[in-house]
Amino acid sequence: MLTIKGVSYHVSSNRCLFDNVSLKIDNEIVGLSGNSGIGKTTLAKLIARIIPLETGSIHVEKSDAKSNPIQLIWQHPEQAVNPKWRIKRILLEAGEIDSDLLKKCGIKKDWLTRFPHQLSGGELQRVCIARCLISKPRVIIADEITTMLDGLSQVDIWELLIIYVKQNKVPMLVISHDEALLNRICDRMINFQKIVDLEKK
Amino acid sequence: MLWKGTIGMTQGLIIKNLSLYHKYEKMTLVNNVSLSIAPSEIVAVVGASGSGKSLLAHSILHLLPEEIEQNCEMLWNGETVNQHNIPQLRGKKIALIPQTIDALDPFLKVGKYLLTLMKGKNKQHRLHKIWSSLGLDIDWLAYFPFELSGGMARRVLIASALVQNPNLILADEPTPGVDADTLSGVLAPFNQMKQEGKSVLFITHDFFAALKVADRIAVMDNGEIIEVSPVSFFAGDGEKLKHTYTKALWQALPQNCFVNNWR
Amino acid sequence: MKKWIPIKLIVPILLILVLYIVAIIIEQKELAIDLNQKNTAPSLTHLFGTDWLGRDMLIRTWQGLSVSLTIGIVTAFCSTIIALLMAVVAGANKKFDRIVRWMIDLFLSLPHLVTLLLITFTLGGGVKGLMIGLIVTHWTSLARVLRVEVFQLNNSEFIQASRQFGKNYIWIVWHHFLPHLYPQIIIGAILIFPHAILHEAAVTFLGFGLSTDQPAIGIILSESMSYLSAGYWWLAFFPGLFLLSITLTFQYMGKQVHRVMERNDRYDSGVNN
Repeated sequence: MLTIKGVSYHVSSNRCLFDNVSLKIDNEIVGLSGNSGIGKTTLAKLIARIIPLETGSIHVEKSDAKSNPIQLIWQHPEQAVNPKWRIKRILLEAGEIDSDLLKKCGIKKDWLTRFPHQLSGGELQRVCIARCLISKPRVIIADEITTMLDGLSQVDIWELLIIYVKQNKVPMLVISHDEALLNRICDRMINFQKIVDLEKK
Repeated sequence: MLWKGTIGMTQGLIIKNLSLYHKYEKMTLVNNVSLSIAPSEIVAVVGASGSGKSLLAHSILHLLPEEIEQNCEMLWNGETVNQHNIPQLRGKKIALIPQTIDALDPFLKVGKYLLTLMKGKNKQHRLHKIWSSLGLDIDWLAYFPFELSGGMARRVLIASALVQNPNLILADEPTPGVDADTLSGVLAPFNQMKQEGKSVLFITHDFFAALKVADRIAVMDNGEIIEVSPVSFFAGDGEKLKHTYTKALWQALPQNCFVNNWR
Repeated sequence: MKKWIPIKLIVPILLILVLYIVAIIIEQKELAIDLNQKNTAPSLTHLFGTDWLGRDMLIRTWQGLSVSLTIGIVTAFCSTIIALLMAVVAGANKKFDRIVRWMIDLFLSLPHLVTLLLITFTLGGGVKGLMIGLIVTHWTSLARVLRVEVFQLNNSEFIQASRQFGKNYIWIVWHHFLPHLYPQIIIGAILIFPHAILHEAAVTFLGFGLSTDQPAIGIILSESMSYLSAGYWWLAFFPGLFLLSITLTFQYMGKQVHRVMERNDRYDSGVNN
């Protein structure tokens, strides 16, 4: 379970992107929609503690692993991996490689010895997802993870993520501007614009 | 022979048997691709990343790096296009919408930069007209590229092609990360061009956007064009589509079944 | 995947290596003083001429070179390490970054040669004093480049991801930063080299550096000053030319290394679409 209370973000001292946002996610898949530029990605980075919190609090079940229990998956997989590392090393960064998990993620054995630029975008995004799952996250945040991918890869990636999330009872926050996609995969939808407006009033 | 139907077409762009070969990797990147674009036509090229669709745009403009060998026959309004006469077409008759904002001069305000691309009289006036037709605010002309948000940047890149007043636009991934509201705004100028008798090659992985704007859709897989079908074929379960890969792409849309029937 | 090492890079490296090895070998030899042969102009027996004690200038210059090259190598190596450490420290947090920036600005704002003279003089000259002076003054420009690189890497997504997986800064520096920085480090080190040699010669020439019994090029040049007016041009001309060519060779080598790395990099990235 993930609880977010009173989180704000200021672009500069007088311009506020969003103020006092609160969210609660149980073991479900929640879609966060809204137009570009209103701070969805910023919220994701705040939740994952990539940007330090200004105000408010974020609560999540403690995990015994070294990694952050809240894991973010990025939009551009080719930027989220070290281009000079082989896939095996990229995966090992998150922890022990579990071959069963790799199979579930559709990662073939011979990819492990390749470099990131030798894989396609969809294949590399699978690697990023596998890396995220290896770290045994308590919450997954998927920020536009299939926007840059073709339709078939998109289907595969969501299929594997949804199965994992349901089996392991991990809450997932899906950020996308594609409402049709969110309607397909999410248990519940939140329009970010509405939250922001509500709090501003 | 996909181009057979276009024999006799003298206007527009015809590409016959385009092959691209990477000299160092010893690998064929694009194999025997033929495609035609008539005036007043929007042709979309869809395919997964790595299928060779961006290479297609760059090979039309002869902008490929030297390590890629290009073999094809290309006709523009009935005349052969080659390395020697492409400078007369590039940026004049044929314009490219680049994939990223990196293509803009980072030290020039976008307005100033766009003026440098324009020729002839009344530049300022024409620029303002194009700018407002894209639904952009006049104040934004004074922005630097890094100040633009994702959706704004998309439209500025489109403006950079439109100001050159071309007859053919090669749009390389013009829509990623664009939300539904902005999407129609981004696609509108292409429809406008079509009405003016100009043509667009719309290269994208976003099948949904392609369906919204194109007249014909060419599906690329593994460096080959496997099917060219009019948009009307994309309906229902895709019974009219020839190739199973195209069918799979159609069915994978979240608006349809959202399943992967390929592989 | 094939790495490209063109002949243009191998030639300067071999040239410098051979020069250095020969210099080390002939350094052992005590030069015979032959007063019958003093101040002879360049000829076939003495290609660079002889000095006022009849010593062969070619061998003296060559010996001088070995001292210069050693100083150059040590300076380049140590300065590079300092530059890297500074950049890494600056990347750790904002406070350290401000301190490092302040230090870089401080050293860059002082005239290079003056700082160098001051430090060398304070430390009492000699090889040790000169070397410390050179090391302390030559790390700045490379540190500035590396600091920006580290800053960019720190903000890249794969570093953020690495932090997400609980890796600490030292781990990230070792595994992520160093492989990315090594081209800049190697090129930077090579380019410090000619700088250091020239400054060594300059300081020695001005009389603050090495002691006169060492066969350094700077010493040869400053000694020759008193003989130049007598028309013994070769005493300064050939050693000076030698120094210049070594410097230019290093510049050239740096440029070639840069080209090779850029090419390999571009080739590595391949064609994605």
